[in-house]
Amino acid sequence: MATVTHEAQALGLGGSRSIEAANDHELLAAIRDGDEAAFQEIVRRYRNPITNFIYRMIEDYERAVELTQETFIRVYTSASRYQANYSFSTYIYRIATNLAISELRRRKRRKFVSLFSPFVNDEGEAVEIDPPDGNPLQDQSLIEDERRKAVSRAISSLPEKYRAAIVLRDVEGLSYDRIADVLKLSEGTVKSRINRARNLLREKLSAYI
Amino acid sequence: MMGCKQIKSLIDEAERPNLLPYEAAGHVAACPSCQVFASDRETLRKLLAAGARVSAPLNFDAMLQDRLQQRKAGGSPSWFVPATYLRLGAVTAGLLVVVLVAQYGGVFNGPKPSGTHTPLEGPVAVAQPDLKVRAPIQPVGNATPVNTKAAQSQMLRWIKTPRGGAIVARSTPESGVMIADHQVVIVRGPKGDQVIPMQTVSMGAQPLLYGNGARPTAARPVLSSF
Repeated sequence: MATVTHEAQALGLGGSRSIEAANDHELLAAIRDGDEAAFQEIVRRYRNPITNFIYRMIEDYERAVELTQETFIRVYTSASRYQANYSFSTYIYRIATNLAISELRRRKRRKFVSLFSPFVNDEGEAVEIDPPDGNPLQDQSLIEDERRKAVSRAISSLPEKYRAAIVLRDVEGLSYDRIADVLKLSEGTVKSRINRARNLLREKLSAYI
Repeated sequence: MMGCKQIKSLIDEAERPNLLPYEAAGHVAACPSCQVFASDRETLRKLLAAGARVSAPLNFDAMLQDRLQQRKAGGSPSWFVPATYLRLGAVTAGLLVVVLVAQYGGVFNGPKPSGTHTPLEGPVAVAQPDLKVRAPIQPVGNATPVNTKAAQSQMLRWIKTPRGGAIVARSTPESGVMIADHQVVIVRGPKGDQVIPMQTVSMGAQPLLYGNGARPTAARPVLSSF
């Protein structure tokens, strides 16, 4: 049973009002007071979108899970410094974006070469090979699977600054002003980057358009 | 009337790929090029949105709690933030560089004696050839009086110039010749002090003295710097 703190009681949490009904700012205030249940609720709300976002950025599921955990740890440890000037989703996506971009830069410096995927794309990044499977498969699922892989490869081939913008817009569905807050850019710059990213993806995915 | 370029921007910025603004919808209906563009954009955006979404693993919460406990237990002290110390180090290094550059540039040197770098305005008669300093040399400012024999034998003295300034002069007790740092040479002889103007040419910051012995010259000093 979660301990309901004084401030959480003042905010109405844990009493007649369930913790699921609290907004993000209220939960952050409760986390600041040491309310573990509020933190668990924040994790429940954002673990899937953040995991998906980071995975789209770095194309590595296990590492995406680690970075998602790191995102929540940072939210927890810096709860006292959080200011409600902007929405919490902007705040957490900003942390996740910075971690993902740091990971991409770290990989570029180390120049990872997988023993199992010696092939590289135009950007010099290792890509998985997909050897042909001789077993008969259902055409539709094969087509869908191949299309998803092509989309993933195309997104991975984008420069990181375009990748973050297009994933936040077309994969996560954030609005332009929210993306501008997350990336700390002007709306005009965000629109420009998304436009360029779509032009690049259009060329790479021309077979599917 | 918007052109195709503006319409394509509106298409690209639409909140939903199939929900175009009124201005764009009307234009697209009549423009084949923009129709193709709108159709391509709609397909691309749906393709990106339809990608398989991944979710956090089932044991995500448990793993997160473990990491959080580890961070609380074995974390570094709250006052130690590597990024903060790196920034402090960078600021300190920057200040050190500024101080060294300022020191090299002579910013911290004390004020030079007046008259050393006084800009000249036109021809200057530094001293009259017949000027004779008979009385004991009077100091200027807060300098120690030099009307005693002991003081007169001091190596460094403040001397008034005819122009009203003051210069630092060094004396050589054995020869009685006082070599001034600036424009004049004062010769102390049995008949009293004699001021001899000297031609000077500056090379860089160092004035060079030219003269023909102790004979007074009528030539005015020429100061030029390179």
